Amino acid sequence: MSTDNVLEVRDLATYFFLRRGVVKAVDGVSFDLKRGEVLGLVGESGCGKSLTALSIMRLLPKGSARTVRGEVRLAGENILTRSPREMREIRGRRISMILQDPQTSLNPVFSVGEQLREAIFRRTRGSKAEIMKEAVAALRRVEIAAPGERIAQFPHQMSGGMKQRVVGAISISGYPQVLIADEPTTALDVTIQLQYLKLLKRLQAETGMAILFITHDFGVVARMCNRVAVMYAGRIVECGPVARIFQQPSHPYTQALIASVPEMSGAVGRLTTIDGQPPSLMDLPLGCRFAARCAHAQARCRDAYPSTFTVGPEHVADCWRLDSQ
Amino acid sequence: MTSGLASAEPLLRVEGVRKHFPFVKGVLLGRTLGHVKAVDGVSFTIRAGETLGLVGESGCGKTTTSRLILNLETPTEGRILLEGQPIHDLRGEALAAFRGKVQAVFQDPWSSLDPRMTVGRTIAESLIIAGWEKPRIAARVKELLQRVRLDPEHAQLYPHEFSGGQRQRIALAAALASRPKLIVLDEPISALDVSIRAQMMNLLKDIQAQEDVAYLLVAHDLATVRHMADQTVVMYLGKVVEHAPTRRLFDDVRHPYTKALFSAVLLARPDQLTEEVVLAGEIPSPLNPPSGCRFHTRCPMAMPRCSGVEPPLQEVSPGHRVACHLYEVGNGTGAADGGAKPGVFAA
Repeated sequence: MSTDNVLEVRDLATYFFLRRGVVKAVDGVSFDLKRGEVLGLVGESGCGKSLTALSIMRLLPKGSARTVRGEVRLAGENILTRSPREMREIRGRRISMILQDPQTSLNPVFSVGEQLREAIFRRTRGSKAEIMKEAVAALRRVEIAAPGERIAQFPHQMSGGMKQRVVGAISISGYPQVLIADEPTTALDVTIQLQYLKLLKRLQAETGMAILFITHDFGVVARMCNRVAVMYAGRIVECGPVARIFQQPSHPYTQALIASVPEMSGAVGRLTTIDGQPPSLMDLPLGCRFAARCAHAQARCRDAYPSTFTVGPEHVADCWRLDSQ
Repeated sequence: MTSGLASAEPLLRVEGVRKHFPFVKGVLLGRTLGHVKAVDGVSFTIRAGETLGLVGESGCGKTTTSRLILNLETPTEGRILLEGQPIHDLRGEALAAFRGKVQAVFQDPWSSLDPRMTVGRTIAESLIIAGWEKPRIAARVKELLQRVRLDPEHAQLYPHEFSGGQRQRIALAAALASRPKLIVLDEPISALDVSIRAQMMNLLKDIQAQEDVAYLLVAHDLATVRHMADQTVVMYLGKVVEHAPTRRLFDDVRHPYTKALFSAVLLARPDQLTEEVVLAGEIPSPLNPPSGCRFHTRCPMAMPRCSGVEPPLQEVSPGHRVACHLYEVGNGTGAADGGAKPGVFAA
């Protein structure tokens, strides 16, 4: 393995086993997360981006979902084979997660201080005074004003932006190497969203942690990420440095997605649309999953899933059009 | 009854509307502790066939404003006129006729359709109330489904059989059934996937061109408003802070709050990143809004008088109105020229 990578995901597949059939929600996802970088994972609802995160954290919904193959190597060791008890030690300390809705991430019947102290105690086993001091410092780190007073408050006494800061404080209280942020700003107002993104960037610069940033918003990608992976129907179809993906998207899906976003400058005209629907994850086509909606689709696209082609430095895409032969 | 109206009369006129909700403590013999000034003196007009974009963050009053226009709330003060008639005085048949003229499409296509009704029945609802005969209703439902680019055969299906984008088109078809003059679009695309949003925006524009229907577009996404709206109103804590024809507003942003909103837009072009205005602090509570200019607690340009005197909404160029002391006529500080140009204003 490369020592640059703190997280390596290889051929990860997570399926839902239902009576009606097998839903292949994540179906062969591979990517690397380098130390100290922000990798964006972009896609539309149902593409499998959140389930990829939950598979990495091993927090799959109980019952029908199961990771059927692949490896998740955290600093070189595959955590998919670890016991649930060992995973509890890994979560929070080495890999941590922020979810979309701060309302449901926090427990409404405990003060934010109690929730924060619990996270810190599990790591340090320190004395009450030490933990309290560290909890106040953690709130200060996420730029909460008057942390000494705020620490005694309950989630309902805080605004959405502030609650999401508390969630951030809890997530990074164990100084994880990897933080997975799943649409952390989607529920926030735009001016508050910008504050939060700046905060995450600052924390990342201070701690050197790597962030896997899950979003559907290319604006967030442009502002936050170093590299971006685009997901469609359970697979990553394109991955590369942010500037390259925006300037020279190579997969027709990425191209159409970027072209369909209305702009803040230039002429106001008709927007480019992507017709049709993603394929059913219960009945995936043999070939490229985007072929049915793709303007460039040929017979070959329907017959076989495209190989991964290199189109530039660190820039790869799964599309037969890139096959030069 | 209103056919003789002069063409100069706008379709909708909102005049100095206020909506204050009492804040009560106790259940039965409660005391009123104060009022949440959700909407506090808002005026604008919408002409037939045009789109007005209403922009702002949570608590700015944009939803209350749209509910007042839908006649779901009664204003505390001020009035709203549709085709010259005050809408909150309407009763009986006149009110029923009003409901046909002003329709709405809401944000969440998963909760806005009745799961136990076929989509055909949902679309036909307003026609049944209007007393149409069955064969005419069936023909109209078919026509409406085609208009929103769905298969007319889909009238027999139930909402759960459709995707989010299709559901939002069904909601639009139901809104169009009574041939409304105005449709309130409350965040019509924000719950949809990126690739579906463009389809919905194109469809809304096409339908407006065909039916000459006006839209009140409530949205938080400025790029959407730019593509859809003819004029744009920016609200903050119940007040209009800036109002201009959309193109002028986007070329020449004046109010510091609008500038911050524009700067917070995350451009999907990394090479176009502009200067950032990161606002400090949170949006204050509308229960106890700041004195003077309500934005002064977060404003990077705040001057001493901003906390004491509320700035009036004044015209700074034809059709472009701003409520900010920086642009007051006869201000004499010269700050307006320095702050007016977008780009000069840095965090």
